[in-house]
Amino acid sequence: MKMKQLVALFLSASISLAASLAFAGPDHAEFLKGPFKDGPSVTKACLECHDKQASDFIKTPHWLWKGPTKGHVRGYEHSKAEFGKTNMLNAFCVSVEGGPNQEARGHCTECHPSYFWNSKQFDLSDKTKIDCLICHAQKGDYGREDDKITEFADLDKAAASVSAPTLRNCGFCHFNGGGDNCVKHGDLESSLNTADRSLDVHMAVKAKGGQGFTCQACHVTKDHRIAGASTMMATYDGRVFCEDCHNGKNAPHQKSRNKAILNNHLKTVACQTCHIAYFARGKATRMSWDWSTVGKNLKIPPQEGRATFDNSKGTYSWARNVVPTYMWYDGTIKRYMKGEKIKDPSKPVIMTAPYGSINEKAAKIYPFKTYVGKQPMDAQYKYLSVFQQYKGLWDTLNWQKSLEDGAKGSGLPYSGTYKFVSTVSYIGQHHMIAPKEEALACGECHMGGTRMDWKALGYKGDPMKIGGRFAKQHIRK
Amino acid sequence: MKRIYSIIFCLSILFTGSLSLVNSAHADEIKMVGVITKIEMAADGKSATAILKDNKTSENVPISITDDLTLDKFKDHRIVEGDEIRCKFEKENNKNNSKLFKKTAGC
Ligand code: HEC
Ligand code: HEC
Ligand code: HEC
Ligand code: HEC
Ligand code: HEC
Ligand code: HEC
Ligand code: HEC
Repeated sequence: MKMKQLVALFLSASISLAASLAFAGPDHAEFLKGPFKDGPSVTKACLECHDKQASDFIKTPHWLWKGPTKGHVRGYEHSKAEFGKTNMLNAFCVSVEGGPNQEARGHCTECHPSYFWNSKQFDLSDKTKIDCLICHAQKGDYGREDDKITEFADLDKAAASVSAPTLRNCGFCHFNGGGDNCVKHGDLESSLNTADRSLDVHMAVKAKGGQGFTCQACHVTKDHRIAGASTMMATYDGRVFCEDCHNGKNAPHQKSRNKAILNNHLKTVACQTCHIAYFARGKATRMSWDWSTVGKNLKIPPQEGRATFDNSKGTYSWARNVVPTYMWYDGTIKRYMKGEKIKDPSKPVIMTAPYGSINEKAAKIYPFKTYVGKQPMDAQYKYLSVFQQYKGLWDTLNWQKSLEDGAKGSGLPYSGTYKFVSTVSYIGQHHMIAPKEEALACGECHMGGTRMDWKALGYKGDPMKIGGRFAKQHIRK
Repeated sequence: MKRIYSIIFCLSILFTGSLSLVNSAHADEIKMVGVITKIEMAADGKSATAILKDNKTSENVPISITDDLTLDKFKDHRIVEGDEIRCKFEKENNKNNSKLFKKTAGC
């Protein structure tokens, strides 16, 4: 072969390679032949070509389960401490720290992309322990069960099938937050896998009238930093707003008859408020969880077709098509943090709530899921307790023992007496955007509409009559 | 030469024998991941049939369930229609008898 020919061949080959890379990810079946004996040996193979990605990934909150608050949590603006799932409490399974050696992590690690952070000891700098497949595998029934890869998984097939994450990949953890499908969020659950436009105008595939968005279409990801803050968590890697896309020539309501009036709302009413008229539009979501009934063998009828009692976990309630709670949110949260004293246990402890008020220009009215709980607090030391549920309470139904073991893992001393306290969490709703025809009409909020509790929001009355908060004539409360 | 043939012969018998042994021990155990489209309890509550839509083929596969643990979960709605299931079953007498029936999510 002559030099020219060689060069031409090389050129065309590299062009076609580049083209295939540009339009779809490469077929990894070529790179990953296997057979793989376990998770880390897959990761080691990935690292041969993607060491940078792994080095990036181990710096993210998805790996560390903590990070700086970056001003997200009120009262912790100047704190140098890092917070996240690893050291925060919630009103679902409460904490990952229970057990003398934090054995609770053995269950919680199902949602940590590692092989396997199942006790206190885990080397967060060991890149070969990253589970790349949970976010990237498309085939081979890949999944995690507690601190194991499910025996249903075909590792070789899974490794060969990697691509950019799909809804299902992120959903493995986020649809099942709180321990089961649709428990934690009212707007993130497995119905999204097969959504049509009426359920979600963005994530439904094009054939079903949607935009075929992946999660990262909105949660833009760079160097494995997945953008988007939670109304429950302390740290984040960048924010996501509807206006990231709906701006400039894609600004909303341009052709609308009510263009001016709708856009006049945008400084005060968040997009989500008008475009998520109801949450839990797919499956029912859990609305409450009362741990105080553990061991009581109650017989209560199901709600929305789902169990309302589990002897090892307590009592639940469920609801579908729920009208959200509307609250001011300036993008920061008030959050109960581990060890904080409870001033008045006769009132619900605010686990997490949006921060903001009518007086803050940057705040807008957003929709929330109001979720109530009941969980143990230390009767003497007056803070929420950590208890060992997994390989503890769930088997023994013994509160005293599981509270003692919770204290050992969390380092939060237990006085020996506990009582149950109510909690409330306000969880942001951002997904399952309904088709434009279902956006809230004027009368839902104004002219006697009941969605907005004007007094609670700080208005003297319906702003349609008395003017909005930026109008000159409006007199604030 | 004869000896070699007979050795190969013996080996192959051993080999197929061991294969069939393995087979009979796991009489066609099939693994499947799918979403429940329907649960029907028998009137006496001692068995149930769940239809699973196979994630891979989209085929509807009826699974017979007789273990108390799973039946209890059906009765108190801890497992419901719409849940994704990891199932192992064996084909026996025209039935797909469940050997393992677990949600892919949940405690
Ligand atoms: C022999 C080298 C090689 C190995 C081994 C390898 N990859 Fe890749 N991978 C590539 C190349 C080349 C690309 C395309 C360029 C890029 O995006 O970095 C790519 C792209 C990707 C992409 C982006 C695909 C898309 O559709 O956007 C992901 C995700 C990925 N790899 C994950 C993995 C995972 C997970 C493993 C281990 C299971 C792995 N890769 C193993 C070479 C490799
Ligand atoms: C293996 C389980 C798992 C997978 C898979 C997963 N996440 Fe997460 N995600 C978590 C956990 C746990 C947190 C809470 C981390 C923290 O702050 O401590 C989280 C937090 C978040 C947050 C809030 C910000 C934060 O850091 O708290 C967003 C947004 C998010 N994930 C989006 C995604 C997207 C998009 C995908 C898919 C590309 C995804 N996640 C895949 C477990 C997962
Ligand atoms: C928590 C989920 C998650 C985990 C775990 C994860 N990734 Fe990713 N990865 C993503 C997301 C999200 C993207 C961005 C995809 C996009 O923009 O479409 C990405 C992109 C990539 C890309 C494309 C190039 C780039 O840098 O954007 C590669 C290659 C990749 N990942 C490899 C890996 C490897 C190797 C591992 C394990 C060491 C891994 N990922 C673990 C979520 C994850
Ligand atoms: C149409 C855009 C869009 C898509 C698609 C999308 N999200 Fe979001 N998501 C948002 C916005 C906006 C927020 C608010 C983020 C913020 O305040 O920084 C959010 C917040 C979140 C949060 C935090 C919720 C909370 O308050 O606790 C999680 C977790 C999350 N998204 C996960 C996902 C997952 C998983 C997917 C895919 C199944 C997904 N998102 C798809 C727009 C989107
Ligand atoms: C990643 C870009 C992106 C983000 C972020 C995004 N959208 Fe969209 N959205 C689109 C595109 C593209 C369309 C389809 C074209 C159109 O109608 O403008 C769309 C359509 C819509 C529609 C019309 C749907 C219909 O067919 O009836 C509504 C309403 C909407 N978006 C609201 C929102 C809200 C609310 C948010 C924030 C939670 C949001 N979008 C975030 C890109 C985005
Ligand atoms: C006060 C309620 C309200 C608010 C706030 C609101 N919308 Fe709308 N939106 C509507 C109504 C009503 C329609 C459908 C009827 C119409 O277009 O007149 C609509 C239509 C849309 C459409 C489809 C038609 C079009 O013009 O493209 C999109 C996209 C959209 N909105 C996005 C958004 C985004 C993004 C935000 C936040 C920046 C937002 N909306 C805030 C009420 C609202
Ligand atoms: C989700 C509830 C909601 C919907 C739907 C809604 N509004 Fe409003 N509207 C508000 C709020 C909140 C304010 C106060 C805005 C402020 O304080 O800046 C307001 C303010 C107003 C004002 C006073 C504006 C000013 O600055 O003086 C008028 C007029 C009005 N709305 C008319 C309408 C009409 C007409 C529609 C239907 C096209 C509509 N609204 C839909 C919540 C809503």
